[in-house]
Amino acid sequence: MSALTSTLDLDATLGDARVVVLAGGGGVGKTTTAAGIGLGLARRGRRVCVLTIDPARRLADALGLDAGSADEPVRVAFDAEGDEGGELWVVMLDAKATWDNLIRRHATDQASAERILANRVYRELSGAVAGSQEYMAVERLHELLESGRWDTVLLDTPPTRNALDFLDAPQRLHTFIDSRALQLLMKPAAGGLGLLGRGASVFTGLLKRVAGVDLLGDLIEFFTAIGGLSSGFAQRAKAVQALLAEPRTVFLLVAAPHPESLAEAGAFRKALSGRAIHYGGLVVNRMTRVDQSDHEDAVRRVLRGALPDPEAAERAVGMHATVRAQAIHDERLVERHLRSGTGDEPVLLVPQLPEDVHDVAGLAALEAVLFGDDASHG
Amino acid sequence: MDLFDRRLLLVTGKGGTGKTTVAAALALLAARAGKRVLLAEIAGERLSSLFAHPPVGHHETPVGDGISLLSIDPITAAHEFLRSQVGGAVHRLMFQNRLFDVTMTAAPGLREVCTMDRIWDSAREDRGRRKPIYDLVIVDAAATGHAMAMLRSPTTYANLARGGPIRKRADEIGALIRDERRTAVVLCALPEETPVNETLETAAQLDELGVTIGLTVVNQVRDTALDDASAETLAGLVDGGAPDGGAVASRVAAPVVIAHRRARREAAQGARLIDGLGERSPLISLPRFNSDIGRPELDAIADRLAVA
Repeated sequence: MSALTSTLDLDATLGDARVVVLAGGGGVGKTTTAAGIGLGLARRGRRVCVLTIDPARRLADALGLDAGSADEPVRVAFDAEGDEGGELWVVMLDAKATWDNLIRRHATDQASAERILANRVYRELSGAVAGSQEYMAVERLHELLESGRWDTVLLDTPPTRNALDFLDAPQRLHTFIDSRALQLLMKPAAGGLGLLGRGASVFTGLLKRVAGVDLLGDLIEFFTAIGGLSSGFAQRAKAVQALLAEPRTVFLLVAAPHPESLAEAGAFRKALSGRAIHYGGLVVNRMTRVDQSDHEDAVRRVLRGALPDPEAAERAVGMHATVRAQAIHDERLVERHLRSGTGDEPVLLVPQLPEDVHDVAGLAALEAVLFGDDASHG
Repeated sequence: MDLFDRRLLLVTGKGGTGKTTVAAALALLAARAGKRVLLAEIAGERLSSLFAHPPVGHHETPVGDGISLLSIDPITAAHEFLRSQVGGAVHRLMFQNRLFDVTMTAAPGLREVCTMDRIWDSAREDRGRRKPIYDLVIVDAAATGHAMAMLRSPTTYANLARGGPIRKRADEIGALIRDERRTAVVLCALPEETPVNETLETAAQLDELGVTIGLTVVNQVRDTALDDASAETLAGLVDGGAPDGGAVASRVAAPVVIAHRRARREAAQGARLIDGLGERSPLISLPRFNSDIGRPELDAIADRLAVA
């Protein structure tokens, strides 16, 4: 059978990228891939920052991230011999802190900022508005770029089932803040709308009785306070949205060789295709890779020659066959996925590594595979 | 007590840990034992596609073998719930506009309380004459974070609301969730570091909430047929130690060695999970399937679960 090969060249694809967005479902190795690509770009002389959402603990520890350092970029030391003086930084997203910064920046004065920060609706908002974490990730990305400290920022997105949650987050947040219905409520006695005003107060009383909460009181306070920064907010949402559409922003999808994961990637790809988004390609992690050219007899000969115990040798032969079947299965899944798409999707097959990546040495090994500096790359 | 003697099983776990597969296999197994089973998910049609059935939407739909499917739409569930609490006229007046979205957003836990209410409506022993009765409702719940928010929602809402009909219903749902004779959570994990950590964290949070773990399933477990000494010998070939200089030897040995080491790492992670869970939950391991999961695979998984 013809072996499937990688067609995505990261050097060419990310050559002048300012933003790299990695998207995909949960548990496919997005954070590790982001860090590996980040290291590769840093070794090519770029100042790189990886913005991550929820890194695996050992990797976070190895990179110097801990709970206390959320929101603060941390520099990662790596063996830079023969490199071009790049830098690798990582930062863990603190959505709440990003929200608070946003409010402080857009509030007209300190007092109104404090009023918003203390409001119950505001405190629930970061968790409650669908896509709020997604929006804050892009907002933070924008901040990092604005600081001018980095040439390239990589964003490891929150695992979202729906791609549009991420892409539409800025717009949705803006719509929520701008809600017309609320503005009507806030001005119950506005000219000519007295009836609505009375309706609204009846409504307020009813809702309070049914829900057992003076929700509207908090809501009105919140929207009154935030009303002043609504236009700044709108501009910001537009800028953030525009950033995602820039030509130097590249989207990469990350998947594992499982039907569900590839289906998710396919859905995301479809959602991207109707938009002004630069799509780089698909990274498939944890591919079981076996050279298919060796006949079973050759395999048996090698394993018998190496293992004196014939039973152990036979077990090894059986295991080789199992792994080979797995490799064929993984390839077929990816091939089927590629055929179901546009047919020209660049793909990068990352083999299952001998060890989990949980330190900088592991990242270096991954980087070699990702950027094709590795002899076993195929 | 037997897992299937409860009314409600919530199947959850990190993304990609096989929640849907496990929920469906448990449903098949319970149905084999003669239970009338409702298998539900929230916002999606993964279950119907697994059963090769057209989308079922927000309707309880029998699909044969004593199983019905339901895909709960949280927004519809919220409207249904509020209508039942305040009556049709007030509901129309209050919630048929954009304020509904705002209320849902601003009242923490309310959306989840509504979804839980919909689930418990199906799990009730007595639903009146017009609705089917189920012996067991199995929910393919969202990824852990969202599932925990659902389980916590009655408390979250109670902390916010001083009284009123919604608060009253939230309290009732909270009591049902904490009743170990009625509700249990089924945790799904993979034998890898992060999923194991997350499973242990979830178990601790469930303890705090007073919710029982009925079963933990470790999915996609791979075995090794080799002993460590043989694997080390083969590893020697990979590093170019074969007598003939060995490109072939290295090529053949490398994947076997990688698979062996991975199986050992996975076994160690599985052991860590067993240690960490202790007496809190029985644990079952399921092998990795190389084929896509369809009905024959589900039946095979149900067989494995039956043995355990």
